[in-house]
Amino acid sequence: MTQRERHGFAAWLIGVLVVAVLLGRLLWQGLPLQTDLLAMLPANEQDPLAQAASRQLDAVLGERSVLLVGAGDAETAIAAAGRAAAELRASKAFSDVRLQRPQLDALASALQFRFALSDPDRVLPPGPQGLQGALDEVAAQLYGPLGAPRAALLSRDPLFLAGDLLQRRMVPGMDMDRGVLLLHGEQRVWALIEARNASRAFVDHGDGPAPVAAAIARARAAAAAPGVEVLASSIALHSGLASRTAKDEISRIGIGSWIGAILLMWLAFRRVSAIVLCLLPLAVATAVALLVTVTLMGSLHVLTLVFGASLIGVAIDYGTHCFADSLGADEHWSMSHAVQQLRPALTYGMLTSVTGYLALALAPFPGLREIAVFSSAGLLAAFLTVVLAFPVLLRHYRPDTRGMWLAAFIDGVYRRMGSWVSWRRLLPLLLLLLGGLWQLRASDDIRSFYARDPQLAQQDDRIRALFGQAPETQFYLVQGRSAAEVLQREQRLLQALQPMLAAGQLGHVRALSQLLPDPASQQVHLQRWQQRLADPAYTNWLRGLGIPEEAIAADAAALASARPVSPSGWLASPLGQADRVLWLDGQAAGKASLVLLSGIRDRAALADLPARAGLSGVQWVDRTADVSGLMARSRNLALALTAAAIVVMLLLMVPRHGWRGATWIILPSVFSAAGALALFGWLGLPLNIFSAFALLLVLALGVDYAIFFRESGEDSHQAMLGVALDSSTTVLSFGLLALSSLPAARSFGTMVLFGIMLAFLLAPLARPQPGRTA
Amino acid sequence: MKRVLTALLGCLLLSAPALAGVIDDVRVRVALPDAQRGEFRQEKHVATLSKPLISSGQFIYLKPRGLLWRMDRPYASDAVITGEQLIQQVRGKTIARVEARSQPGYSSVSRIFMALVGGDWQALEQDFVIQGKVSGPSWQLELTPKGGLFASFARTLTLSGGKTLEQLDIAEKNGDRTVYVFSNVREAGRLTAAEDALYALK
Repeated sequence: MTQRERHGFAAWLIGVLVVAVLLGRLLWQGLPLQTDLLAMLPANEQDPLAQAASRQLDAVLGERSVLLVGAGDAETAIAAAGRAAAELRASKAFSDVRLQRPQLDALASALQFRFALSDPDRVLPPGPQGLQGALDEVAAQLYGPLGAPRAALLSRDPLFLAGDLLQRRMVPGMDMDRGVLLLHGEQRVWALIEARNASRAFVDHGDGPAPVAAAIARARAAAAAPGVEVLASSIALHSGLASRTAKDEISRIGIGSWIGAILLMWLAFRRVSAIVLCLLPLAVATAVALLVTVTLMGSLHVLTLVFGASLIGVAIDYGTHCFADSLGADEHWSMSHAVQQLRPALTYGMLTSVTGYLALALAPFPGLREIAVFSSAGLLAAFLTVVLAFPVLLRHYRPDTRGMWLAAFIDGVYRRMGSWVSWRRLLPLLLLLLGGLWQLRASDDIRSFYARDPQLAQQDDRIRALFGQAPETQFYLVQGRSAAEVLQREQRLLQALQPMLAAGQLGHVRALSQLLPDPASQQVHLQRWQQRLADPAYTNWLRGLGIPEEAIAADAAALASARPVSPSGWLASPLGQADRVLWLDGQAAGKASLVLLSGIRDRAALADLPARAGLSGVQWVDRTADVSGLMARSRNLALALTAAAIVVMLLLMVPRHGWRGATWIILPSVFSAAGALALFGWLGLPLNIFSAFALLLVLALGVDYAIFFRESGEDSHQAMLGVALDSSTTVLSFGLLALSSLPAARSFGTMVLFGIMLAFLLAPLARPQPGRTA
Repeated sequence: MKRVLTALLGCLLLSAPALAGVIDDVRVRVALPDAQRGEFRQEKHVATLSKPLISSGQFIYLKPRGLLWRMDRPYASDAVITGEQLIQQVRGKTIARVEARSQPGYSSVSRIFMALVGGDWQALEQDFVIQGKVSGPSWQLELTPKGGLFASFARTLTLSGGKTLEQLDIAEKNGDRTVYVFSNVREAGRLTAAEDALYALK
């Protein structure tokens, strides 16, 4: 053991201890796990405001759980909903559970806002009979069959302006009984419970989505009664399930690849110490990767964990190469010597792999950057473990060469293959390759990357159908320098949408200005009210109805002191707080609002409405299309990065291997990648961002294998065994990934599976051959 | 003690045979429930107003088609109430409209209203606890809402009459009262063209 080795080992040991302590602390606090697939996607580069609007909508929808408690009659539904709501409140999984809505508070603010928010010309339309005629019509309603609520409010709100505001606040298709919102459908009455989740849906601290699911399950049990049905919809249920599935799969894939790897190594090395020490770099790599990722990224995405857990399987390779070297050993063999001899190959292998991963990090894609950080950190840790710790830990290691038969067997396979391979035989394969590439198609629809649980999805669909007006993911973003300008622009937009609503191209619109006009219009309302109600005919009319003098004076005083309602005042009031989701405040460049749509029939017409109708400050936001477009751009980027990585790797090889050698090292990987793509084409599997980025990994690992063959020279038994073990462990882990229920992971896994199998078969081409001068 | 007695009495009255008896007793006394016309007077007693809101006019009830409510005083206004919608007009101009499609609460209220006017006791038993008494040709029923929209504002509905429904008194929870007095109720007979047109309103 040299001085240098001792120092290296000491440094490694200290590093491992520090990592262990930090990781222990992190695990103690709970691993912050992300499950939102959109969090893996890049921000919409062009427009931070549209981004903020989408985030706000997501936050509101993501934090919300909706329960519908249905029964044959309202009585039973409300009683059952009451039991369910009590259970939800007791669960502490929600910060706010809402069944009964305080109507009195809403009435108070409606009374306060009634003059500013009501258009006098709508309530008292100017006509041939003048004010008196209009007032008579109001009175006719008071005496008529719908007069009861008007009569009840008469002395506080003679023109029923507040009552009208409250009625307009109600969503069509819903009604209210004892303060509970009721929906009607499927021959049932449904009581609505809305709850705000205590923690964000997508971040799982171990206490995240699970309590929501558990609380909803308990609420179901509490509501249960004959004829009662409970429907629940919450992103937390989906992400809870996704998170659980992902965790299950990580452990399955993890256990599967560990068992596979251990078995393979036992076949090859026949020593427990060898197996344990092969797994040591893997353990260190996992620990470092977890720590570095959470430190740099703040959280860990489940997809990173799924991909990363397999990528780190590559970390095992460095160890296996060293032990593979031991199989061809004589009595002078020592690990220290082996590491020294293998160091160039190990270093180059590590460099090319890290190059591949760092190419991932170049993409403006938070998810891939995270995978890159995770894998690069892990690989570096594994490399350092082998180089620094192996010589010291394994200074007394004596190889057991019984496993040589495996190397010989693999060598035999390769040789037979080598003699079979000729250009004449390869030509049809090349045609097959081109045929496959020709059939390759891409699919970037974000929805195809989600695994939706059919049962949850069915409930979501039923709830959407019962609501009738669930907002779609497309919306308009209205911007302006001031709140007033935003509201004015919104009103212009609503006007332009009117013909489409009438024609049924659009079902429903929801906008702030529907109830809250811009301040100037409100000012006009107030002036018109003051003018028109100053007419003695109004006071006489009030007296004629029997309204007491104090009430008449109070009505006049309310009008005199009425002021326009600001957006902040509106959103803070019990009447307006439901509109908070529509308003974007605190933006640097002015104000903005969202106009939500439902029942969209003609998306294209809506998309180009702002341009067609010349609406300034109005922007169409279609997130599904944006995200799918982004996916497509990122997929192309991945392909470009793969091409760039080929060039970079080639340049990295040239100093040591020369142009020719470098080309022979790169070529097998290029063919493997092309072959995997062709297989996708033949099998009809779509190319997407995940499979495209998998190509980078194929390239990095393929080059790694080729380097070992190249470095080991003509007598490549050990390299072959090393590569065989490496590719087997990789195929094992990715083969399992290809079975994943997460479509994104499956796509990635399948591409790596195909690519690595081909890379394993083609890697020996990189061997310097006697007939071919290197 | 008194409250206990009342409750006990309530329980006794609620017992099924007695109930069926009263309703059957009323049913044999009432004629022409399916097509009738007559005059109405409506008095709304609102606590905060110095005098009741009084209106009067004609009504027509046709079992399949719905209720026409033609107010003459203090304002001329026509309303047609069917299971699907309510339309109120002044001088041929629609001033109010409610559709069951967009306001689901409407249909339950209109259904009850139609059952009240049409004397459909069986339908009313779903929504109300019915107590009552008969004396000679006249009868009185007290309806207490079991739940639903009516329960949210009405305490009791008191109906009385002989051959026809003569008075409907709705006592609201906030102390307000609405009293309907029906008079000169007779067979609906043929509709005038104007009445037919109102029923056909969409």
